[in-house]
Amino acid sequence: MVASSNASTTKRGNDLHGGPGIVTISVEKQFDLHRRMVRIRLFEEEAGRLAESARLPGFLHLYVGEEAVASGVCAALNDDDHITSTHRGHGHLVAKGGNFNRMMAELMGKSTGYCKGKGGSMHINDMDLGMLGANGIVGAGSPIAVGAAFANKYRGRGQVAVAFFGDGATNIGAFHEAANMAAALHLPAVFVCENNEFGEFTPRGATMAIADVVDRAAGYGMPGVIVDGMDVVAVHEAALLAVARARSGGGPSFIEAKTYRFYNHHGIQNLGLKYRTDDEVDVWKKRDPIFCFEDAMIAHGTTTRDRFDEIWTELRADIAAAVTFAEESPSPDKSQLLVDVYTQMAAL
Amino acid sequence: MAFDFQMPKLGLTMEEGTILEWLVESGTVVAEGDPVVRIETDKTETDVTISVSGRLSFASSVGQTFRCGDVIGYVADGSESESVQPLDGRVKSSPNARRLAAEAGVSLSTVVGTGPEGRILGIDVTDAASRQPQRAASATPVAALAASAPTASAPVRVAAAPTPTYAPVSGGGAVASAAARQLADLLGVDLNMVPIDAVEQRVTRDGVALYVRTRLAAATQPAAPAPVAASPLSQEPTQVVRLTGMRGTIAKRMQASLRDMAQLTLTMDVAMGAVAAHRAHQKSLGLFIGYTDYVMAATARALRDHPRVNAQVTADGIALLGEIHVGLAVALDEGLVVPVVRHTDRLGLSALSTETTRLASAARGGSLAVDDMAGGTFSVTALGMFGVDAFTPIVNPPNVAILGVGRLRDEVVLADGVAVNSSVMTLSLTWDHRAFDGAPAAQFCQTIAKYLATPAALE
Amino acid sequence: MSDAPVQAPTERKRTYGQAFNDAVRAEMTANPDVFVAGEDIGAFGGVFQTFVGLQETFGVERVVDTPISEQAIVGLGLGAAATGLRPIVDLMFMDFVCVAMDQIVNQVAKMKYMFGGGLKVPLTITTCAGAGLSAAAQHSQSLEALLCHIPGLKVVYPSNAYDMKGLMISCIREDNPTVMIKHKRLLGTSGVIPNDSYAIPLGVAKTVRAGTDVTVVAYGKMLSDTLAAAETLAAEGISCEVIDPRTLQPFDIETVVESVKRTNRAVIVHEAVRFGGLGAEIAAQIQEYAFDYLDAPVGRVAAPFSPVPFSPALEQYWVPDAASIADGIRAAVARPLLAR
Repeated sequence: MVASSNASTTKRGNDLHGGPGIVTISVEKQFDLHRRMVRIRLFEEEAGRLAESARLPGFLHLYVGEEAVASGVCAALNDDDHITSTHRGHGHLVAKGGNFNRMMAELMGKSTGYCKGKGGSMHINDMDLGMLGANGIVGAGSPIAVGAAFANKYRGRGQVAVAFFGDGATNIGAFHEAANMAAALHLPAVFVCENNEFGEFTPRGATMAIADVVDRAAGYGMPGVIVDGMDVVAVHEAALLAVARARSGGGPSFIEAKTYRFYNHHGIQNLGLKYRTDDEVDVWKKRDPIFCFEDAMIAHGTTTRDRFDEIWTELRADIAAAVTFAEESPSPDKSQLLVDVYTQMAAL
Repeated sequence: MAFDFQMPKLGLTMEEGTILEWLVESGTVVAEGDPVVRIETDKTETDVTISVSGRLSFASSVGQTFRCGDVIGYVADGSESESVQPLDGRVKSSPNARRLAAEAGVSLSTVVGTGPEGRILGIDVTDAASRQPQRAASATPVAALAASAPTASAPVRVAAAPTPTYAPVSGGGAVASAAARQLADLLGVDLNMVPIDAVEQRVTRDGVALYVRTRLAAATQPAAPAPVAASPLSQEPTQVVRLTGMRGTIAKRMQASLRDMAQLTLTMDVAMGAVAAHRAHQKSLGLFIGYTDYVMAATARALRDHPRVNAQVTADGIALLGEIHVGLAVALDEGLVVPVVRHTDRLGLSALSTETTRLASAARGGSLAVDDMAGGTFSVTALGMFGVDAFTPIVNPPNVAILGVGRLRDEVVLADGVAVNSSVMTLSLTWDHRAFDGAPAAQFCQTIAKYLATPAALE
Repeated sequence: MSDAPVQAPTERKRTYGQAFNDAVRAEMTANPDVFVAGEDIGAFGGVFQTFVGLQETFGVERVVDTPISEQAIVGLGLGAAATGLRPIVDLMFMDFVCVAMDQIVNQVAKMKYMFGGGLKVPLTITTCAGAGLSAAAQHSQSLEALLCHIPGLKVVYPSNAYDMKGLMISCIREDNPTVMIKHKRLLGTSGVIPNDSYAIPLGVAKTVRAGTDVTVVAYGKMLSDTLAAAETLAAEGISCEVIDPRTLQPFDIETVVESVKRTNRAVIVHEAVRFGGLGAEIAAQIQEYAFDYLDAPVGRVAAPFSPVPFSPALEQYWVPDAASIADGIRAAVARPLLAR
């Protein structure tokens, strides 16, 4: 994995799946990355099933297929580092260490949820984990990450802030303002673009005239790198470099992770939508970030299939418990309607 | 932006007008040229059109009399239409007034509003509540209208009103017609204070209107001399005809005429044989020409010959008027109007007859235009149809003379020593001696007689 | 020679703009978490000089010149506020609020609620509003109604130097996002104000002039014009009670209603356009809470429904002034039939 240390951009293709990086990180870290990805996969697929059986209200944007990006980046962060997210945000919270019970309860709109039932899927957050929220507005998270990065620099405690966003968000003005300001103010920020090739239902090629989003980084005077977003180790290594640069006062970096969402913009079913072909989806599914990583670890002799089966079984139990917890939780009381619009202030 | 809608001045002599009826609701959006209010002037009833477009709000009520130029409503253009409240035919009162009235036990129908469009305000209620003790004696709710008048504190009495029979004051209120109730509501009048109509045995709409007019007149003109002699009534009248509108105008103008001019009357018989023959011939041709038309045509031509009679007395002297416009008095049920035939001397009998027919018909139909009554320089009045031969007409100011037309009668006269049957009519000329003397007056009549002797020349 | 002890003065004459600066300076001195960021506010001191001298005192780390990026400026403030700082971010002209509307409306205002309450957003957004300087349609607006409509924001609009200092200190100390609106034409107006820090609680109106005939609500620049109108009307026998709400959101309707119940009439004055302006909300609340005390429809004096014109010849008719305010008040107290 290579990342330039100046403003030029390093590009590489999608040919390094399970590449040499796997031997450069500890076995413990390999299982950490794997566990983060499996947690995301299980949470998202269960959420999808619940939505299809009408047990979840509202929109649901699933992160399945992109697990390597959130996991690889968040594994490079500390709990007190900050991230901002997108409206495909469950994966980022899970990767940052989110609690299944509180997440599932929030998706069901229950009072025990992360947002006490007031935010739902698109505003799920955990301030204690530095997760500054999924966001219903495309591109709106980046300026907030810049603010967190500013605060981190201001306090001088070495924290960094990571902005996750999609390829489509780089077309919106707020992203541009945020990236430019982070670079201009030399802030400890990392911009992570999850390029899944579609802005909602429109292919990336129809909405920008560049093949690689990372080309934009140079315009901000920011080092940028392309990584295989289906390769969790590649993502993780790129993130380690960018985070280290930010922590050491080297300013912001840009990572473009080439990835793919296995399900639709929202929900699970394809619904006969014609914006992409089944063949294209199948090609990407053959590069499933979890299964390929498991194969690589087994092939490398690090572990066995049985060990993975144990992990999946254990985490499935956590998910089942979360669903039970959420379903048994009370809905918010009407009395909570106007609570937390404002912080109640004591007399000054 | 709001525009004042003023009592219009519809003629040179118009000084005030009374609102008879609003033709639209308050709050209605009106367009330029829409007739919106019917007013009564000293001469006629007329529908007034509005000269701007917008939302019209009333600032006056039916029965009120205003001087020309007084604001009787407001027209708001679109820019402020939100703030204009329509009056939907009920007493307007502010929420504060309603609350205070409920608290004080004051009936809003006894309170007169001083706010925009007569809205009853809180202070109007508190004022009314503070007056309530006196009200039990003799003060009236409408007395509040006089709050700004010099004699506000004195209870107002109706000078010429009969001893009124009031409706029974009880929880059920006065016995009154629906129309009376509606009007009383609109004007904020306490029905208990309005005299009961002797015929209808209940308070009528006219009764309410009369009551308010009288109050207003008394409240706004406390020092003005009484228009009629205020002798005590010798007995209970069966009816009192109010001296307002046309009746009031006639009273004022006729009294002023006699007071201000040196009037005297002469009578002269004129032969009408030629006219009768001419008229019969015309009738056979299908043309109906009235005797009065002959007299008017002859008079108009005589006026050309006697300019002193077509004149007006001014401060500078006797102004001789070049144009001849003869007015013709037309009797109506409610009084008298004098529509004017313009340039009478230039009209042939046929055209003259057409015009007098139109004017008389319009007068009786109430559709006389203001211009139809303006600018008369001489008047003709006829009582012959009632069997009157001679009378003493009163000059119609600012003219200096008026001609009375008597009955056409057959008389035996001596012509060249032979007794012959003849058609005769007596003309009664009243004139202002200040303008000319008896001889010219007689000569003027002779000239009329001369023209009547040769009616073909009037064609 | 005098033996009288020389006492340091406890108050001094300060302009509205200086009072703002004093408040920021005092709170930055008292609390290291307070910083300011915005366009041209550093060495230059802000285009209206309201931040002048702060960077000299507190350094570039705490007085930050930003790119011309209103969304990112507000995002900067939000991210920093949500992670523990107490930012003041400046949007040079109130018109530029529109450029940052997503961050203000969808992010800043809602974050606490939609996140379930688990954070504070002690962010102050400052901006300059108002017409009268021929700054034309994009540099003259009064958009407070837009902001007051958004749950989660507090909106403050001082009318004088004393209130400016006390309200700005409250804004900075406030744990909720606040928008401090300064009127450009008030910046040079002055008053004698205490040197010490003092806080004026948000959401508390001030009765500036007592009266009996009509309650007039006015704020910002319109307050002084309204007081001038009230003086004129006093000579005509009309007694105006003038209330400065000072904070527009939350709005102290209690003080207004208490007054209207005594005067039975109300007029609201603002420089923003009339349709959908704050006057509509205040009028609605007055009729909700004091309907039975009203003697006249609640009046409004406000700008006509057009963009702000450039030419002084036109702008003078756009901005309400003492004369038009007096006209509006006269209309509300009119009793045309009293004179008849």
